[in-house]
Amino acid sequence: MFGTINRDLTLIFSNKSQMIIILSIIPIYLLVLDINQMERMYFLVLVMMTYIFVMTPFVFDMKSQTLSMMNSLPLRRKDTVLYRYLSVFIYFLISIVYSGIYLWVIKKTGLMDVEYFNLKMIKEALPYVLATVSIMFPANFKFGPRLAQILNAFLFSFTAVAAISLSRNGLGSLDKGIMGLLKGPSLLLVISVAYIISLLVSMRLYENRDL
Amino acid sequence: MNYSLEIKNLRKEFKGFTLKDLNIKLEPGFIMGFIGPNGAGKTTTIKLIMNLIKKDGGQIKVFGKDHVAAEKEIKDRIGFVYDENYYYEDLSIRQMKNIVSKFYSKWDDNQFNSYINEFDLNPKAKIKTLSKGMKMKFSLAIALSHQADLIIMDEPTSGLDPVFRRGILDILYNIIQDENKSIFFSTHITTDLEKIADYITFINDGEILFSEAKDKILDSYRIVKGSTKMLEGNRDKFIGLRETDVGFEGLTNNINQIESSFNNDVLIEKASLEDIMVYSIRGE
Amino acid sequence: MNIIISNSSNEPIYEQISSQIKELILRGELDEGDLLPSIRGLARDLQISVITTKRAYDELEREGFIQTMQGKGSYVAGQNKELMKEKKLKIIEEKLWEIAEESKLLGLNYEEVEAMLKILFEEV
Repeated sequence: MFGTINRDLTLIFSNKSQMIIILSIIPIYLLVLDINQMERMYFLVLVMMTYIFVMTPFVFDMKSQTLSMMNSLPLRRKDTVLYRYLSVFIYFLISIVYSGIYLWVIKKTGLMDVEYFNLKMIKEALPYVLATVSIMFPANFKFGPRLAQILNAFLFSFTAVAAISLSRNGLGSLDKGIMGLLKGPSLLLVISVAYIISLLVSMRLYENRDL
Repeated sequence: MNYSLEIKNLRKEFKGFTLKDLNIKLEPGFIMGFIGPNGAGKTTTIKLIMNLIKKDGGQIKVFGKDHVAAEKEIKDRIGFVYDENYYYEDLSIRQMKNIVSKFYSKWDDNQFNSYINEFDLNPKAKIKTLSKGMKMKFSLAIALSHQADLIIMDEPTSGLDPVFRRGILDILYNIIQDENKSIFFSTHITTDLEKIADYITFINDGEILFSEAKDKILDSYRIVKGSTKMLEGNRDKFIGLRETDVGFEGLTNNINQIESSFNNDVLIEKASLEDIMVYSIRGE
Repeated sequence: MNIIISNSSNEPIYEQISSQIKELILRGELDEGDLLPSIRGLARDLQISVITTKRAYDELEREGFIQTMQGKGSYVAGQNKELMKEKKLKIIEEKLWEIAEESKLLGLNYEEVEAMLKILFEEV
């Protein structure tokens, strides 16, 4: 597990363009979104940050064609999948800490009055991330670069579109539709089960895949 | 006895190509050369051993254990060098090494550094700046720095100059001084193997033609040269033939038969591995 | 100890090695108890297969020239010089007997045979 996380973080911090994206997400959102939607912005930042951390290894493996090399190391495919699914929680935590510090600094310097920690949003962001990852992961584990990239692009743009409609229509629009579903404790249970099912499906798919 | 590598009736089907009836045994302490033309199935076999692709039938055991059931344990003891060695392009050698080394239980950093020195590689160099040869050297440095008992190499020397290739052979010779280590080395450059290999497995079109001690192979094949008219009625005695306006050249593995059929009217010479490979394929 | 092998000779490499080592022993350049290079070390130095060097050593051991001790290596065995010399002498004697027989059958006399031998001695 440690080896995998070490690899992910090394990759993330090695790439200049990646770093720039990570550093500019918050400023961009702050510029694009209305001051009234700070709550939702926080939500989006958490989600996007987690996505970036989580999807990085897939992207790099595609770009650098390193799948064969990585899978020749002493690592079971099942374990690779498991670590991916567990790492989502770790990266979610990292994005909470990262955005917390970033936004706290912005607030302290008086640039903008932002929230740097919102438990309610955290509670909504986590299920959202888990739910979307449950779909993204099996696709990425099963399919080759092109197909997986299409799916990822779809998901990213979906989130981006949500951000834009959010900034146009305000909070109200969110409480309908998907976000409306993200309330209630039973939902967390459903999501957890879905996550585990997704994990098992990914394991099966990845184990049987020819590289 | 525990073979380093034991393959039984391995089978893999693709559209338009099937690998079948593969049987290979390699004892610890020896080097096996895996030769065959391009597309014969060498890389496929290695991918199957490393469980990068799934087999359709048969059994593969490494160090006596099933290669899937004990995958992690086995790969901890395998050093691999592939034809195309891909790494994360934006990382430096040192960074890449730091990623990979965490996965091996017996990683030896001192050993790695001494190989990097010997190979004249700069640990700070970015992977994307490395040539094919340098990437291969980097792979080899990694493969040799975690006490691997089996080194698997897939066409490691193709595209590299002869000086370099000899250097690799020297390194392999040094590895094999330890009689617990084995090397499985696929290539279509047979001259590399003519010296160093203990065993040769020859694959063509997904099937194994022979898997034997190299000395035995080189002892039993001969190149026969003579005038064309001598071929009358004798063509079937050869595995492969090349006929020209000025005579013929043929490969045989039955020296006695040739000697009795032709007496002393032909020239009989040793066959190189390349001769054997080329005639065995063309002659079909 | 120097061993030079020829790739182009018709003599198998393992035989070249074993006969060169035998010669070194018979000539006294290798003494009883001398340690021979390991089969792997020799294979590396000559750039050949370890199976070849092992075969050479196995033959030398079979014929009593060397002794291999597990884990320690191969040593030149003792007393062989005399034994081998005797054995070789015996072979030469047998061959000479054959020559004598054949020559007599052909009607050659001793001087004619001696003359042939002289020429051959110079050629070999």
